[in-house]
Amino acid sequence: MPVSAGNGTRGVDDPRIPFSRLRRIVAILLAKIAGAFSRRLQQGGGTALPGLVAEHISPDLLGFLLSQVPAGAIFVTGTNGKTTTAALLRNILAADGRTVLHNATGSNLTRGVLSMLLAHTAWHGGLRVAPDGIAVLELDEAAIVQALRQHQPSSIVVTNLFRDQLDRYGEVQTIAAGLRSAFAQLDASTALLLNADDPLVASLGEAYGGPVRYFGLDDPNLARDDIELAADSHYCPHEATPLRYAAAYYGHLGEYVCPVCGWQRPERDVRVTKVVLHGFAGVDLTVSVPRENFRVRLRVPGLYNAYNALAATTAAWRLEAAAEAIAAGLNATIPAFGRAEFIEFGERKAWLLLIKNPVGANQVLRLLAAEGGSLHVLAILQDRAADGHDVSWIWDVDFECLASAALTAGGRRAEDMAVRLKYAGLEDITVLRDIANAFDHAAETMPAHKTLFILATYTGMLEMRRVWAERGLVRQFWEEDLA
Amino acid sequence: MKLVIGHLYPRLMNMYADRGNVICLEQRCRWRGIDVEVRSLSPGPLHNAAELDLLLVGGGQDREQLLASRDLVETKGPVLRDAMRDGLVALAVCGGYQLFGEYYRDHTGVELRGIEVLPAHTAHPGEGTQRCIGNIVTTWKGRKLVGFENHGGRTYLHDTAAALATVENGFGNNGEDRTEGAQWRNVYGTYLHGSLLPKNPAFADHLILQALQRRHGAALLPPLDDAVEASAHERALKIAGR
Repeated sequence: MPVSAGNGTRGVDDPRIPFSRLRRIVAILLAKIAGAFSRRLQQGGGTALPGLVAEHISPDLLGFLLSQVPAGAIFVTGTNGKTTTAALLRNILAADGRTVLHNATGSNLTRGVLSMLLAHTAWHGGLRVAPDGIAVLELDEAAIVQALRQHQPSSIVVTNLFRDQLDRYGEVQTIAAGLRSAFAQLDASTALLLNADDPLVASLGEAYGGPVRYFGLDDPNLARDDIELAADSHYCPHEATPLRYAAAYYGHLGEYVCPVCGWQRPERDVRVTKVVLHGFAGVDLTVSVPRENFRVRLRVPGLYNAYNALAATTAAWRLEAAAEAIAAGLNATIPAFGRAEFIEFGERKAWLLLIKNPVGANQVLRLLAAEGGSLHVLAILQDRAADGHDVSWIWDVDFECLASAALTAGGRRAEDMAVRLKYAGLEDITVLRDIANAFDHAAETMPAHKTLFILATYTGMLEMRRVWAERGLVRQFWEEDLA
Repeated sequence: MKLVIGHLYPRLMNMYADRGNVICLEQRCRWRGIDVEVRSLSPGPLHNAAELDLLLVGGGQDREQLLASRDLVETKGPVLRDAMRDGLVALAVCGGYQLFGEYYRDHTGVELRGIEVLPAHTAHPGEGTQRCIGNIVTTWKGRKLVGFENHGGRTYLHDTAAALATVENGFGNNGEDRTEGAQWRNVYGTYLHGSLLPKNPAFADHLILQALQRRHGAALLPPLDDAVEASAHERALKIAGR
């Protein structure tokens, strides 16, 4: 099926199917009712249910609604950093004076995007959006393929591809192949904005017919000699040969070249040339876009967030946002909920840090290790669908660096986490499956004025926040979304 | 006393964090005062195979598995086969297990040769067929083994007596005959990730004891406090519905 030029939608206004308009109206009305019930029953934020309902009744509704966004859509995908990259980009565009539609809650399946759009949709299917409105949409690696069948965005950002929840997503190579074939169906109006430092992501730009822009890091001070063991895609996509790394930043990200065919990291359009890490306080970046350099303090911590800032900057630069707006938007962004969330309770403090795969978890542990001193750590491991049923991945995480920390393990698979910590050479681990109890124990056994670091898989993070919300320490994420 | 662990293709076959098996054997030896040396065995010729006491290999992505199989069959195969015939203790998981058999036929029908140590072959039933994914419980020598399996290929034993364990819950080798894994001499193949050994310390100690007997003639292994491991084992049994 051909794709219409520009920000097109396929066939939804085909006069031969007058029924589709009726279907749409029914879908929208039922979705709105479902959303209202879901919120009233406190079943959740209503972030997925309306979209789920609407999608069943009117499968092409997403494309129909997105076709009404005046300035089109930007899709953000990849394994790690989607939520933060989208949040950074939204804040940049807002600082640049634009109106942004954004699925801020991290509900990144097509149903989550639909639910967000439905909140701005009249019963007859008209999208209420400002004349300069633009959509910044986070989509997971599978959902983006579905979304691309219905809508062609102006840009697609790919942050990175790491091994993640194998029982749900499959192999990294399979995901890359899925993206590659979805991109091949697009006409040349969509720009691919790719992480040059990730060989697999960079290779997605090779055969693409439209514009491709790359971003990457160039700071020799941060380079390590060799990639970490948890790295995945460090093989040349053309030759069955390990890539040679002149600089390894984290995971398989770095400056690489194939010793056999010479394939190497592509030239970067947008670069970060200097990174100074300030632990949890943030990161100072020197950013270089064509014809301009600027410095910015990022308030999201860690080297991995420097990459997210790069990805967001590239998308903003492509949209011709002013450098001042880019710097302002980057600086205004605080971590997305649960990604690196800080709370104070009584005389104590806590950081809540999402971990979901080995490479990302190792980045978070690097942040902790840089804190120094005697750490207090609560590690929450769950195995629900959104976490991945297979907990094996924790064995590729370098928990060894938590030596001398006071440790509590929590969550549905707390015992598995305790075993992992024990074999990392750590001692005196308290195991409390119930997350509220685990938190209370970890907090109560910690001296006043200390900080508790909580590492949690996705549903563990949500449950920790639910406990805090019940105690009035935080607001639930859907309330923040409306704020 | 010292044992040498060979970790086969730690970078190529690293997909399902089977590194946990290496960590487990290493620590359980150290806690008992046994010296351990871990050697990473990357593609290329293998010298001093006779110095190895334990050999471990995990699962990889399809592409990496292809690279590993080429090296395994053409370069390291003959030496390793001799060592295993001589009693080398080996644990091969998932993709590694498949390569230890006679051949692996992929979803397009292409056959990849294995090193023919285990009396088994593996065939992928073709594109669009269900992968075998989920928590798994098996019975090995009257004990339960717990883990997580995730494989597209189905493995068939040439003699079901060569099975490592019997499936209680899950798919195992092929989802048909209730066999799981394979065994020949001191060589074990299995589909269980988890990682397998940390949650099944009795099986880990079985491997260590075999290696000690072969190298040092030791017949006893001092017990360790396995309360944490036992609770993870019990929890995995419960979650798998057993």
